[in-house]
Amino acid sequence: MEKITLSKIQKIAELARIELSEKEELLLHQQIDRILEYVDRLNEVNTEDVEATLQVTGLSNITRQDEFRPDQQLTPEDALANSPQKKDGYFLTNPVLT
Amino acid sequence: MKLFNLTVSEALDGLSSKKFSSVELTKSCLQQLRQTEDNLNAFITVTDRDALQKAAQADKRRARGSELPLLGIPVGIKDIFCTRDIQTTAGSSILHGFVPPYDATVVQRLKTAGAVIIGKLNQDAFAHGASGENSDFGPTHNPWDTSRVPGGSSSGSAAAVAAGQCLFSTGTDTGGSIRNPSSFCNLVGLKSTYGRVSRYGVIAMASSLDCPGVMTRSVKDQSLILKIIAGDDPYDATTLKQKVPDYMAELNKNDLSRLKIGIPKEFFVEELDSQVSGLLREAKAQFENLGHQAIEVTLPHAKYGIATYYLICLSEISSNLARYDGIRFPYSNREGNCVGDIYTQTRGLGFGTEAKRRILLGTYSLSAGYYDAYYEKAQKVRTLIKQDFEEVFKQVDVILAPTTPTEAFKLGEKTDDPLEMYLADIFTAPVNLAGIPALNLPCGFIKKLPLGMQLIGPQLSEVTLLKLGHQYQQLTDWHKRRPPTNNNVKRNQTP
Repeated sequence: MEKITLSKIQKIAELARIELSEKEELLLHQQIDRILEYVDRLNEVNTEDVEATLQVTGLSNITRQDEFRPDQQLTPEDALANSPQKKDGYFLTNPVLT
Repeated sequence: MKLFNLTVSEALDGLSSKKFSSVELTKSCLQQLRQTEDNLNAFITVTDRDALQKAAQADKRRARGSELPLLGIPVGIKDIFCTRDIQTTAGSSILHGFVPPYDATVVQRLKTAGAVIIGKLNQDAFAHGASGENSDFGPTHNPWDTSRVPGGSSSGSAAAVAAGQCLFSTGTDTGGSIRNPSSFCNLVGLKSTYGRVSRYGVIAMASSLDCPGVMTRSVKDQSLILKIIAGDDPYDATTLKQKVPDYMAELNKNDLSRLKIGIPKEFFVEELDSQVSGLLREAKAQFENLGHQAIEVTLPHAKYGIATYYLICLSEISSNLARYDGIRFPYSNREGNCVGDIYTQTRGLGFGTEAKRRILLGTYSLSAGYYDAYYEKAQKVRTLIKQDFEEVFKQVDVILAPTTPTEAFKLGEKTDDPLEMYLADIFTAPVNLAGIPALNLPCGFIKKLPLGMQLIGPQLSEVTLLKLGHQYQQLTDWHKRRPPTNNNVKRNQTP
């Protein structure tokens, strides 16, 4: 039995904002299904009363003073330098349409 | 002795005793690069002019008495590390043309120490892979046999050092990406304790697992360089506060006591390649000859390592790769009508298949209705895997394990089945889940191809791992061998 349907894959691709060709959809569907079947084995493990490990360092709430330091500044020019399109110191994009 | 075959320590000795200059050393590496690069494809960007300039500066500084620890030593930087004013792609088309305005902390520290950057090294795109075949810039080839993979994802990092295109390289290890190619290319690769080395400026793959590090020809080199790159960084809140030991000084004490070495029975099953287990058995015997004691131990959740790793890793990947939107980076598809089209088309065209596969799986695993069953479940099994290691380290000081299930395989051999490629991480990934350190050491050859083994220790046990590794390297000389590409002699040169 399939672990995931093709239409679910298409929905996920939409969520992840990735346009897939039909060929890619079919290939990825097949491969992802197989991988999901493999990871299913985790259901054999009893994790009742087990805490999730979110991070391994044991550190928490590392803070710094909220102060401006000129040597830590990125100029607007630097910040925009890698953008494919800019205008008047802003990123330029296509219109936001729904 | 060709200069490009030296270790970093040997090169530093040669430079300080004026046997050769940094310029000569750098030229030797660059020449070797030119001669071998058509067959290896280890680099994405070569910065030869700048390297020679920096080498010349290093020579001047040395003449004026500078004693910077890596002064004039040629290094290759995995393309996942941001380098100021040098293109940085992480091996992916979607970052083609990206020139960072800053250096990663690791890069900064190496530059401050005087190292000379030869260029940016090829890798599986976004570090997704265990062979180098997922690079959008063509696969890297193994210098020991160019029909084979060098391992991944730090594929170029391994091939370049093995071939002598540079004397050491930087890499990252999220599920094995430093140790795996080190195993396939006869190098020493350390994945240190998570948080020991800053991730600032390292293009993120899985933030709870990524560990930057270096790949070297000897444990001595590894010890020298780890001290330089490790340590608390105000730019990375997950870096550990504990003081960084002087690893070289520790090594030189030669005071390693009798250790208990754990042999996990789940890693040495019937199915393990007999030549691999043969080499590991020889290594075990050598450790016993050195006075250490081998004890069988158990890691009961070992068989869930890959499933756990991939669910967590892919979930974090889907989050980290959301930023590639065709707005802030040069690669962009603007053919559509609205901003949503920029996202979907840029990402559809710019990401390779493996990246897409991982993003989709990760998105699914984190989505409403599936989060508990997949991501949270995996994080709970992660706790059990971490506890398995903690239990074992109550009985032993280090664990001996294989690094890779086989020696380097042929290009194309595993590309049809992504799952088969994922299983290559079977001995390395659990270590990342637990956040503990592991050192790959060359331990022999299978049909003229190198193979490495792992020494795994509890958190912050790098001193023990390096000392034990150094002991092993004083007894064996696998790490001194160089691939056939390094013996070639130009027609007008005396051998």
